[in-house]
Amino acid sequence: MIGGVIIVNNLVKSYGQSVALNGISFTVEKGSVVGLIGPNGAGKSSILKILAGLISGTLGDVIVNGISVASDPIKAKKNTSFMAENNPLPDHMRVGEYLRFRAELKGVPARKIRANTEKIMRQCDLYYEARHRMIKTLSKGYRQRIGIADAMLGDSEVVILDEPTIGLDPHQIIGIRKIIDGTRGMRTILISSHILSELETVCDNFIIINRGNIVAAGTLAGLASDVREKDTFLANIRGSELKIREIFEANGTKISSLERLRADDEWSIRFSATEKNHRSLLAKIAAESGLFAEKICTIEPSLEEIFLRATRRYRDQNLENKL
Amino acid sequence: MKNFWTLLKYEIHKLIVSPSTYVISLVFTFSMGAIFAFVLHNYTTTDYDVPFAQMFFRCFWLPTYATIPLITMRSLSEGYKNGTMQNLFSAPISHLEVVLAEFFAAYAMFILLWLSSLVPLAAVKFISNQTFADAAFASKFNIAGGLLFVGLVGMSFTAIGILASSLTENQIISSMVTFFMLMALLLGGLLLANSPKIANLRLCSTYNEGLSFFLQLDNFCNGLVDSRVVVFHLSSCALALCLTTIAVQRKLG
Repeated sequence: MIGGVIIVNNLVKSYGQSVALNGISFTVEKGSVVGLIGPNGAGKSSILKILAGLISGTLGDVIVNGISVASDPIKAKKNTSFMAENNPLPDHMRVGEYLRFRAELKGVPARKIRANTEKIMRQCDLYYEARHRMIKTLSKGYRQRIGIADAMLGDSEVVILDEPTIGLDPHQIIGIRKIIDGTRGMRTILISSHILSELETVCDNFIIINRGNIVAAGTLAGLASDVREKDTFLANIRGSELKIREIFEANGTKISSLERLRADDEWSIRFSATEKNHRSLLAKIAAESGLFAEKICTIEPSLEEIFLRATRRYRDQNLENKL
Repeated sequence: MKNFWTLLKYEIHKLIVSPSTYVISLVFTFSMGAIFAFVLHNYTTTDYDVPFAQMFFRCFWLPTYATIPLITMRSLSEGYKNGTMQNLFSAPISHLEVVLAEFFAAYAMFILLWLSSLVPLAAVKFISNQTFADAAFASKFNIAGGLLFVGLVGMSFTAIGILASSLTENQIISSMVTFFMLMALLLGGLLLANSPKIANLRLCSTYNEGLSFFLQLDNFCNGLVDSRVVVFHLSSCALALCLTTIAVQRKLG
């Protein structure tokens, strides 16, 4: 637990009778980019708001950069930037005006405000098209970028982004990814998003939560081995489609996908099997059917698969406990 | 409190660009014009033993009760409703700074509106060659005392309006709560003033004096600044703002 820039210890958050966070603990190392994943209502926004000092936890400790958020939220907020989901903005201001206002509130020295806001507006692709425009006239994509620009303003060590890429087009998403990459190692970034492929690209570590509990945490490779039940293999096999299907079915192995590679009956087959039996399975198939397996490789599960398996496993365990 | 000025500028900017500010100003100006014309007409057709300015300020309650709920109803309610309040608090600022900025912006607008209402007084003086030194029309004491009193009452009333807006996301409810709270204060004072048994009790007597706005106004217009009245309104304002800060903390956290 020692050494993390964010330390969450046994955090509980209740809203009346409903428990949003059920005693969760985790640590985020300095300079890392961490993805927070969970289904709707899992408690992601509650964690982020507590870390940002916007709401207080019911029990437990949250320490950001050595400062307890509950004891001294204002001091803790000096080290933290937060972009809320949906990013509500004051419609009556112009983009440049708003960012200068936010920079002032965040304690950016007066002589640096202009340079800082212009730099971040350029990075977020706001400078030329939007800096003089009223916020109320802007599209969702622009508003999201204003929120990201606001979060990146100043020198805060921890940046918390709640669904930052909703409403952005692929070019803009790449732009945001570049901004995050540019601060990698210097700032600690915590991102919550439903776009898992995006998180997979930018994050070093992941925390998966479900119903207020952490169900898995770690690097992508670590999570993959943690949630692995069966490996997914990709094999190139020669033979007729019908025969391939028959043989796999007879051996109780489910084919995830079957794609023709060439005209002469060469197929790319994706299937799941345990580490121990996949080679013997293929040998058996070859011996029984005369099918020839050319190439076999293991496919690492994607973040989406990891997320689905982790949350499903948690649900199943819960059901077992109840029974 | 270093963010107070930044927040105050933000709140004043919000008022300046809001169309509702201009609607309120227009309604206030027309109302004050009508009141001024009505009082002036009465003053010129009937003999009164009080200066014109004092008679004019006696009508303070009508525009005050109408405008304060309208000025303050957007203050915090709007921020709750559209989520900008939570966004604001992601920066290292205190609840008190936000509440004070909201209060002073609304109060500045109230004072500006009242200062603008002195324009007809100056115009009449200019047209009729009457001077402010003419005690029968409007002495400096009448005007300064009347304005000081309106300023004090406006301070505590604005704070009550801000308190009401911190309790709800709905602006209509906020303005209605403000209006009924202010009416309760006015009617409470009148009720106590007309109930000798209650008014004779020591505690109630003090309260009664604190709420007898018309009696206080006459004293102020005559140059008699009662420190108890000043303390009453300052402490009411401070109490309302403290309660507002607590309400904002509870609402957001």
